[in-house]
Amino acid sequence: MRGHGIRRSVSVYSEMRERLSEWFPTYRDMLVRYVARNFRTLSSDDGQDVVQDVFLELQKKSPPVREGAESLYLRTAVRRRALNLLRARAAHQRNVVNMPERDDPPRPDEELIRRESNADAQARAGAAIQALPELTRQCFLLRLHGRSGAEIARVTNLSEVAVRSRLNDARHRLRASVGELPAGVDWSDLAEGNE
Amino acid sequence: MMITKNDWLAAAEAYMADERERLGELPTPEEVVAYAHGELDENAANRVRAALVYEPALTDLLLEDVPDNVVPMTAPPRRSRQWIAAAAMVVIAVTALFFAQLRNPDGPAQTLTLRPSEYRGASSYRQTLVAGASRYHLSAPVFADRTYSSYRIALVRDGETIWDAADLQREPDDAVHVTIPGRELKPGKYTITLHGLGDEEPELLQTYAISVHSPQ
Repeated sequence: MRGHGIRRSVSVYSEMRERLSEWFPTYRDMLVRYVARNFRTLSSDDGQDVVQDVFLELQKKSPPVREGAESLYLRTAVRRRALNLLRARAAHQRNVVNMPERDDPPRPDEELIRRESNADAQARAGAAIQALPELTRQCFLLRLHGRSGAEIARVTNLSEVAVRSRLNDARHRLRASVGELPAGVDWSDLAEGNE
Repeated sequence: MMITKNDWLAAAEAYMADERERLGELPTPEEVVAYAHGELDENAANRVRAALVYEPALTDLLLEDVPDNVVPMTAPPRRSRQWIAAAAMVVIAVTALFFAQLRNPDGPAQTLTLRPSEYRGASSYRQTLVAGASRYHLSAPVFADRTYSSYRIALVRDGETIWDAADLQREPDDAVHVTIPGRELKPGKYTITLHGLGDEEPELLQTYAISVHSPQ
């Protein structure tokens, strides 16, 4: 029985290695372009290294990846590695280079946010966000960043009905806690009667 | 004083930055795939969900137009009529294929998943087909994160487009499929191009090199 199990593991492993050798020519260039599009602060060499590293790690681990999920698996792997690279660089800059945290002038959008906002209002908004139940808060934050109900449903793995219910909940709670609906947030897909 | 949209965004960013710090390690690809298929326990799913929401660079992972056969955790109501219609269409398509095959005296169809002609470490990658098939079913994997309204696949020989098919759609398996009539692929070397079509100029997404050999 045990021998049979080992033989099966070896067969799954070699099958996976075979699939991996097919993925490299199929996906490599596409993934490099994918990194370039999604992580504009990384250079093209960085993008190539990120993808190369992902495939090297896959080759080492040969993880069992289900049929049909290759794309999501690879996209997650490269986004994860690219993010880790950016985080490592940011940490390196903070720790090794002895410079003030913010010497360069703020970028225009940050400047705009600063000019149009104030500490008291942000503190009230922050407290209201923090007081929301976890799932309600997540749905609200996605909506605040302009995500549609369908998109929020896909990210949170909730049904669209459940998302609308959470957004309604957020709307009630936020109005109760700060006395007004959050400005600039589109609630038009929520039924008025549910408000 | 009214709270502006920028106040909300600044407060949200501060909260999300704290959450990213608290979450630490990003979810692994295995965890994200399992999450997308609703296979994680509640704690693990909560952790992956939080990472997708609080780390904006991950949020789009499940929104990109590559379905990966994702089954949501909360299954939507079954649309039995759509299933019946889809099944009926499959039956019609199979029947049509059967009769088309009967009418066609040529050899059986050939199927090929295309691989890009250029990649690091290989100057040219050329796939082969054998001439004489009634038709060739080709699949071109698409990995552009941008969505195009349709796609075009063209068959190029000696720099001249000899056949093409437009209005092709990206299918749920994340590939564009096309069937090239057998008569178009005589022995020789060809380039196949895949373009994304939209409002702007067609964008060349990939080229593939193939050789068609005479049957032995």
